[in-house]
Amino acid sequence: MTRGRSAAVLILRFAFAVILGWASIDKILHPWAFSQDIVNYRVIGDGLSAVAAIWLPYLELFTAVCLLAGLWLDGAVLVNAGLMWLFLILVLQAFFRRLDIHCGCFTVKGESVIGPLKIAENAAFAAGSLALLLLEAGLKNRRVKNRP
Amino acid sequence: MSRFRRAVLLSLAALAAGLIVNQFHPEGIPGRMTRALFMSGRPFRRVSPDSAMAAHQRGAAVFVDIRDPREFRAGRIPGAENHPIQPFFRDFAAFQKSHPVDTAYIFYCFEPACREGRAMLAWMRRAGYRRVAWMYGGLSEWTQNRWPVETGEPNP
Repeated sequence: MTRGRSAAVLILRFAFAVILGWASIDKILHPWAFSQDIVNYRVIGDGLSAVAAIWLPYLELFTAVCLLAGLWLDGAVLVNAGLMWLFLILVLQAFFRRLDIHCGCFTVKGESVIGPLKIAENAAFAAGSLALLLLEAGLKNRRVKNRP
Repeated sequence: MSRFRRAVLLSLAALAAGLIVNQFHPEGIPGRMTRALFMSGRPFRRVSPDSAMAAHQRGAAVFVDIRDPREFRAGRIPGAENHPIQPFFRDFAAFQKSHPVDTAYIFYCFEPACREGRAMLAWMRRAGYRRVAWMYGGLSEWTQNRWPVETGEPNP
């Protein structure tokens, strides 16, 4: 049972590391274009969007590295879940407000508009990140309990 | 160290890395540009395309097109200068040297809202320029009115 759980954690860690790492590259290369994408969601103003555009890609990248290398794993898993749920909420509010915008999820330009498929994708990521958080917490508790 | 503390430290490390790399990034967002964007929501003086056209005919204002050079060459208000947002903020001192404070400036984009133009306007007001405004409606309304548009390389 524990072995299965460990394997699931490992697979989810690797999957989210790839997703976050891949998503961060284009945003790191084009921060200004990414800040425009954030503004289009109409949740925060221009100034905060610029700060978020400088910060978020590196948060994604650092989280990806930590997930891959197992550094600060419990913190990285928490940040990962926070990011995935934040993205889901942003995409959902854009959809229900009928904002005709590009997602800005993986590339800053030319990506598909927000629709049911994009929502399903983000919902799957959010659910996976929650599963990773719970599984990792369970494994950590077991390790603590088994300590002599 | 707790899970939350590690998450916070990871976030702070990412913010620090972002701010450092941003300083040297060719497409980075200059610090003064971020500050100006925070100020861009203020109610700045705006002019209608009709008033802008009247000012253009009288030669009463310098028109500043903030789009990228490719778009600028494809069509602009005749006589407009091209100052895209990033170079403008990166080297504002050069702009100040060649643009007197007492001249009137009208900023415009293609789209009506022109949020980048308002950020630039905010920075100019901060630097002492008082006769600055942005044209709502943008070049899209200007062209809809079939008013004159200039194309190609600007005259020196």
